[in-house]
Amino acid sequence: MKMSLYRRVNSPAHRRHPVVKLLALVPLFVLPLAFNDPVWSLAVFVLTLGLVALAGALPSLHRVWGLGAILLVMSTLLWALMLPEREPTWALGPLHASPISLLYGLAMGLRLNALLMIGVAYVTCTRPEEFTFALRRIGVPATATLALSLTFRLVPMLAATADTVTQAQMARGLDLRRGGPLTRLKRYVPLIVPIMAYALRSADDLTRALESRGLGAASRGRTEYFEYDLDAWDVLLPVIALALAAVAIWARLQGYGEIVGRL
Amino acid sequence: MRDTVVMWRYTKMVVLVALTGAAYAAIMIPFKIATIVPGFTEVRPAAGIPVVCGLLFGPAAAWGAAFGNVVGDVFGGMLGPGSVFGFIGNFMLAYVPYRMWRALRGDRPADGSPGQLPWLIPCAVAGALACAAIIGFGVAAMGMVPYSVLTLAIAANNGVVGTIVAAILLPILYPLARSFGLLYKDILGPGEYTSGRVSWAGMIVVWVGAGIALLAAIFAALAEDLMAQIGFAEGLGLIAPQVLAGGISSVVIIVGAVLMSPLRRGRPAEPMRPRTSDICSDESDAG
Repeated sequence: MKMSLYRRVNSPAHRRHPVVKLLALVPLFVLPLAFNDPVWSLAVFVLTLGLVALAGALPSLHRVWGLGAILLVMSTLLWALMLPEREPTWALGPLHASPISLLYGLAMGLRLNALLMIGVAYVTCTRPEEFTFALRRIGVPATATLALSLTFRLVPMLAATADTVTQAQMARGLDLRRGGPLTRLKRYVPLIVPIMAYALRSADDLTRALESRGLGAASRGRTEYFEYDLDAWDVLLPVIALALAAVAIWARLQGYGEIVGRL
Repeated sequence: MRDTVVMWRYTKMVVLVALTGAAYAAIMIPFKIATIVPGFTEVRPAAGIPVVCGLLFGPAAAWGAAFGNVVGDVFGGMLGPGSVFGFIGNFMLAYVPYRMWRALRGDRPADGSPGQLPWLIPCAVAGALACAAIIGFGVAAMGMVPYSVLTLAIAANNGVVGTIVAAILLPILYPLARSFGLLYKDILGPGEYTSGRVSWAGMIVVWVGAGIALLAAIFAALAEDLMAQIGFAEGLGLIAPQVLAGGISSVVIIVGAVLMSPLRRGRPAEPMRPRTSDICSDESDAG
């Protein structure tokens, strides 16, 4: 079952060192968070689309464009009606709106989409193994990253079990689309039981498998199955990301890209 | 929170982290009942998994729920700054019910019998509110979604749906987990999970924090008054007063969770090592 957005292509982003990609995420996330003017937010969004193209993630967009559109519309609506305003031009009970709140809402919708694009670009060019490798290299304990790796591995297996159980029950006449929320909740809960039972039953086998591979055994140094080399671009990428974040923070402090005095 | 650290010494707990996380993510992604706020929150029966697993597997479920949320974000392409708060919030979604149950009921097993509902409900609701407060604060502080909307949506989903699902699943899964020897009490030593003397105080602190978070989400004006009284009438820098109230309540909840946890150094049950005896006994059974 294909769940991950990862694409096996040879893009410039795919070739970067896992630690570099993970660390570059932090300054890259600063860019959308820095501005709340829709024009500046749109510029950042276009920049993140460039990142998506660089990561070879344009074909992955069909899986998230619907979500992106909903986020844009809902964020615009929510913030337009709920941004604390001292001088609203329209008010109804706790809801109030003004041209500023509408623009702020639009900027927040674009911000969410920019963050989504960075996330899509990252997961399209980074395998879960690279993600956990990077976590280990930045100091997360090996046992914890092993548990995270196992979680990544087990999700498709349990999701396949969930699908099998659902299909089997639907073949017997279970209808998950009809009825109110409570009725549907009652129909969903019995589907969870076999999935959980399957998971619990595999716990002992997994424990033995891990122990037989030496988990918990005393060792002086761990070795990695995959090793990654650093090149000049791996040094340059975090510098570029940091510079972009620094420019964004400086611009905001100078008053650019701000329509409301809040994040 | 010693239990969340010492549990990594036990292979079975490591496996339970992965299984809880995988089950949570695998059930969360496809099983949706209804949408609360399009694009942000849906009614999902998976909300009950961290509560049930927290009561059965203790600290392993807390890490599992946190990892499951990260994995869900990675698979959905939603990995972002909000994932950090999702990690902490989902950790609390499982950890708070587990610690609160221990503070309220001590060593009595959470087997999900009907008589246990009066204790199960406050434990599950407190976990849901803790999760809602932390995620609501983090996401609102970054200006992504209004604090009230997200906090109330998560509290409603995890509090109501999570509690109903937990009440149904617990009596079914408890005997299964016990028969496989997967309960945290079967794996950890008593000194590693027994509550400290201040666990009741911790429970009250968690409820105070959860109450502030909920009130701040419902009554924005109340949150602004509260912040004005402590000298933050305009919030803090770029963070609005209502969001700041959510942030303070999140810190209060985390402090309460720490007070509920085992604080002293306890005696370990058994160091992690390959269970040769088990493997041998299996082979002899087979032979």
